[in-house]
Amino acid sequence: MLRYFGAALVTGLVAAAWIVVLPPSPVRQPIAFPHAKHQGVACTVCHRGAATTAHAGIPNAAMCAKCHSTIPGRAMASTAQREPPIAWVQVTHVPDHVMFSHRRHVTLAKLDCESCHGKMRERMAPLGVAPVRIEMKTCLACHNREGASEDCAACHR
Amino acid sequence: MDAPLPASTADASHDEIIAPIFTIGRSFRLWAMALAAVVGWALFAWTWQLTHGLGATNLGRPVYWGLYITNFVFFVGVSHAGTLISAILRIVQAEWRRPITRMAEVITVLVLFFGVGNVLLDLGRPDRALNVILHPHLRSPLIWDVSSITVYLMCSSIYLYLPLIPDIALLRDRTTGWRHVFYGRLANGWTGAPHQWHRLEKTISIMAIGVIPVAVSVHTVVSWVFGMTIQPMWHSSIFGPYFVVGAIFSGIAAIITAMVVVRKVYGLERYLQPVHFNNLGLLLLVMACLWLYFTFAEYLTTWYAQEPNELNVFNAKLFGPFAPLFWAMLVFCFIVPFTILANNRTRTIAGTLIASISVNIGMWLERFTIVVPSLSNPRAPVHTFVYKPSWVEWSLMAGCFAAFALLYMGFTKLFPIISIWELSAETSEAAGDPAGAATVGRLHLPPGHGPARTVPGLARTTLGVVLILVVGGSAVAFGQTRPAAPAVGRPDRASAQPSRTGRDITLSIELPDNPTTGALLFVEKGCVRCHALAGNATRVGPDLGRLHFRGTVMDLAGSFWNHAPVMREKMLDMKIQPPTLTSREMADLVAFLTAYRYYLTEVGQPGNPAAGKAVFAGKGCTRCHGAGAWDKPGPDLSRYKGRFSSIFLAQVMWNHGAEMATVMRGQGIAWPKFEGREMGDLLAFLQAGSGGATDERVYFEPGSPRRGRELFASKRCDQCHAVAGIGGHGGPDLGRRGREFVGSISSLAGLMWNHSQGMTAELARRNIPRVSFSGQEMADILAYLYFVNYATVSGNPDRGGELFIKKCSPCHSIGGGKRIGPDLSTITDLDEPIAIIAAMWDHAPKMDQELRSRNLPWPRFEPGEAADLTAFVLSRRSQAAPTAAR
Amino acid sequence: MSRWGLVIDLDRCTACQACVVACKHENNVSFSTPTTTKAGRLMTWIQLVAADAPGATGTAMPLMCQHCDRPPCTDVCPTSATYLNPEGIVAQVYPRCIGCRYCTNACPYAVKVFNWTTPEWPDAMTPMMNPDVSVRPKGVVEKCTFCHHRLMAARERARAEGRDLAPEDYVPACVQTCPGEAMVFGDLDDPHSEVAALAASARAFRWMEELGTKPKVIYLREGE
Repeated sequence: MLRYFGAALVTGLVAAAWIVVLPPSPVRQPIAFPHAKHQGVACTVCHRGAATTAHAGIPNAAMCAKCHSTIPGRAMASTAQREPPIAWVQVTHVPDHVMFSHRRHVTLAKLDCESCHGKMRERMAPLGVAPVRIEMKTCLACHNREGASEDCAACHR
Repeated sequence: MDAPLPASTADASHDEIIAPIFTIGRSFRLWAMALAAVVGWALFAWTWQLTHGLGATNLGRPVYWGLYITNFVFFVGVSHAGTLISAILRIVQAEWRRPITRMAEVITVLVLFFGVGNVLLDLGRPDRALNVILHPHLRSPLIWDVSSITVYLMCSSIYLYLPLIPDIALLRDRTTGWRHVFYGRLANGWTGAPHQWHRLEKTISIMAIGVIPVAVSVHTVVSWVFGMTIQPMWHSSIFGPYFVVGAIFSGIAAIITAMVVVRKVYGLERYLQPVHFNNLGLLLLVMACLWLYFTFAEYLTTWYAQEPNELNVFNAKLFGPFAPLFWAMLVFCFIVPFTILANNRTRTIAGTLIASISVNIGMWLERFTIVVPSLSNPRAPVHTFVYKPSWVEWSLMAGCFAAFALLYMGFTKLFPIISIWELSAETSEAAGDPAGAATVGRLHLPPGHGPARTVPGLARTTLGVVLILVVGGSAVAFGQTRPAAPAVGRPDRASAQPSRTGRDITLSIELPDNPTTGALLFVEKGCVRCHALAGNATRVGPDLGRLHFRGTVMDLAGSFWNHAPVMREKMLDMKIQPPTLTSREMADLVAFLTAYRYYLTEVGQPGNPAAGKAVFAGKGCTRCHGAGAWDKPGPDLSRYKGRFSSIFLAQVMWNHGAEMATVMRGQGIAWPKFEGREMGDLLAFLQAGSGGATDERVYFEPGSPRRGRELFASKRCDQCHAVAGIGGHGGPDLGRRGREFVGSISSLAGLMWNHSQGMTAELARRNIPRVSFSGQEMADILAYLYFVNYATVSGNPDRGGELFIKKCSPCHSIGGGKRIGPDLSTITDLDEPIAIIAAMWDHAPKMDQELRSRNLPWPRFEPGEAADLTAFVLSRRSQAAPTAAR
Repeated sequence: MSRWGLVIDLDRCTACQACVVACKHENNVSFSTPTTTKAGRLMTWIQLVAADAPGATGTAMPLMCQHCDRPPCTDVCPTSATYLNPEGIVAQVYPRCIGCRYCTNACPYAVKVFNWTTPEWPDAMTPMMNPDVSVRPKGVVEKCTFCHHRLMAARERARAEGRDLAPEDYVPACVQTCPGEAMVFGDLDDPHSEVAALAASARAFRWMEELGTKPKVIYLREGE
């Protein structure tokens, strides 16, 4: 009898673990943007909001054109002429009930973008899935270590 | 009236009890279908509630709890049935309990699920119910509820299962097919062996004792959900015992009802006899009186104190909107049962049935009138209303009752509703056959049936359950510990640490010969138009003389660079063409600015003569030097007045130092030490002289650092002092102490004075003759010490490489072709640090223009970065184009 | 650490309810109708109630979460979804709340409200919702937070500008809006703050403080 009970329990646990741990399926980005080739440009140059506002933002074609329109041999003409905003798919999310401010972490705490966004400098392909799983315990581990606020109301407003 | 129990208990008596398990009658089917329909409707109501939210109820502020919580308390109360009958009566050895125990235990186990179920129905977010286990707040009575009810459920389930085992074994032996397999698994290897019986009965006894405090705790903590708040007529210390009494009360009533139904439906008249109902009826009577006592006490104290908020609730209950419910409660809970049960003649089976149904209705009303009126009459003057449950709530309540009944019926179809072996044990004892009890009470099985195991996996079962809880609980608990966080990038900290990768290289910058040639350039190139040098007026740019720059020459270049955009803007405003500098000119200018500190600290911060006088006296100088001191061992210093400069002071004190030391030792005078501005103040005092002032001052120009370096070797200073690791040992490395030397010359002289004792001793030990300096030589040595870190800047090419990639590579490559800016390996004359600085200065305006047009920020240098970048550029250039024209 | 408190001068309060509107707007509080209000489902974090305050009967008093220093609601929450934060604000964490409504029952001021249904806004109104405050789902409890999100934003701004938080940087919406300037907000522990001075005034009283809740909303009675 214990055998069946045990088997049922193990099956249940495996199923639960599978569901919980299963990573989301990767998405395709509209442009195969290589971060590695742009590693000389600081993150905040294109993701402009990161240093000054809550949301980092993903750039549109006008931003690319600022440099690419003048580099000989590297003109990405089709990109520069793309008028409507590029349909980037955001892969790194915080849930709606979390108020996360990029400015606090980038400008005030001076964190490296890689700590939450992974080693983007080495990536050639754009992101299909979030490189670092954004979970409350990840945030709390760093907050705990660095002495940042662990007050629930600071982020859950 | 009592039919005698059959003498032989071996076979026939079991059939009546077991028979219902094997047949499903028509009325059973009809009832099952009807109840299932109600349950189905309730499920529909539940999905309605899940979709629409708790808005589907008629709850609102301030009546946040209504039917569901009432049912929760009610069902948990009814769950005390099993405990009372089984446990308490077992302990007091009331034999008449035997046919009743199982019925009662089943009620307990099943009804607890609906108690908990009603809480889940009541939650706004039932999908988050696990938060109660994952993030419990131990101070909350609801958490006490969760723990207590969980334990109670576990104990009751075990307490139901254990006495069930022998009967299951009996059924196993009597059945075939799936039933046989089913009972076989559940029976867990029960053979009826004596040691199994022994263990079983011992465990049951222990559990019987143990489950009582658990049960008491259960309804006590349920009551404390209300009692621990400060709400009027909730915050009552009587709630604990009151609820327990009420629970036992409604529990007994529930058993009686169940007994009557089961007896009628399954024809168990022989087992459930009037005596049982009589006894339970008496118990019910006692509980009714006890209940009345508690209720009276509660309401009397409330009314007597006349506390306004409580009185509001009191009035609402007795005379207000809840009056019908309240008085009905009294009728159902006390008046009806008391009347029926107090009288022998009415205390029949029918009578107890009516009484028990009445009690259950009354107790439900009691729960309702506890929960809702207090909420309807809050202290705060907010809008309130009369709560009437919605169809969803009624449906779910009906569904709970129906589901409970259905499950109960299901149980009766699987297991004997009367405990057969307990009955058998009783009858054989009653027949006066204690030995027979020993044999009859045990089922005699044909040999070879089932393995001879110990009390059937009881230990294993219990162990298994406990293990699962412990493992599960630990898994949850450990899951809450924080995992090692990913390494967080802290570039600002990282750069402060020396890079372990790659070695530092020393950037050699030529020491200037005459640092003041740059002064001409400062004027010619127009720097003086915006920048003063310790001047009076504030100009457009900062006063370069007053910038106490303490970094290396590369850091100075870095600061230049950081200011370039601002300078360019201002120059555009003033319509000044940014000056360009050759490498040579840059070297001179930088040397001048470095040396200018020399002038600043002497000219800009003169010492305080009055303080100097105090120093002169305080350090004991007057004992040897004084005015007109022809009888003193040392010279009268006033004859030097006017010629005193810091260099002179340093020179003269050094040269005479050994002599002075000998004399002072002979006279027992301690060697004085100078700190901070003391030497400067002393100098000022000496310059002012004693008696007569002179405006004549002699300034020594800063000497030649290059010559000073040669002197450093030729005077053998390098025997004991290294500079940035090159040189001898024994004295401090002057390169490392370089920052101390950019104070004033006077303080430098003071440092040397302080050290001279040690130096003298060391010189004597090493047999090195003490040297003396001429004025110019001292000037040169001091100039060299000022510039000591000038020539010994080190930079790390690997760190510089990272910087290059981060800051420069969008526009520049080295050997990778032109990008927005030129390929740095193709530029000539970039092979020494000053040349790089000059080139960057010259190109800065153009770079600024390019960066602004692209909206890119101006890359800035932090301390140390300029040196690293220069080291990298130099090393890469030499790799990329070893044959590049120089 | 600051201890945030609010002083309401009942003499100046005209019961105009501008504070109620401001709060609703600032905190994405959903709408109610007369029907739902009668059924006890009014969604509001602050409301004017007619109370018998000392010195005057039937006074209109703005009633919001009193941010007690000894809150009865936080003791009873089974999941710590409501708790007293180090700066004295009784916080409500919506993702943790299981909607058991124990806290709503424990609060003697009846200032906690529950989302009986999923809140809805007309499409035209969604652009004006405050992105700094979450939109609560159905089934959770909510209440006045002293506009704690404004404190977070003000602190961040001050730190980015390299200065300390000034008193006028953090002001809840109701206080900011009150046309009669009847509300004063600030740090009760700061001896120089206006709030601390008013809290010590002879006209000051706290509501139901005999219950031991130590509320941090202080009312100034009408009259002399």
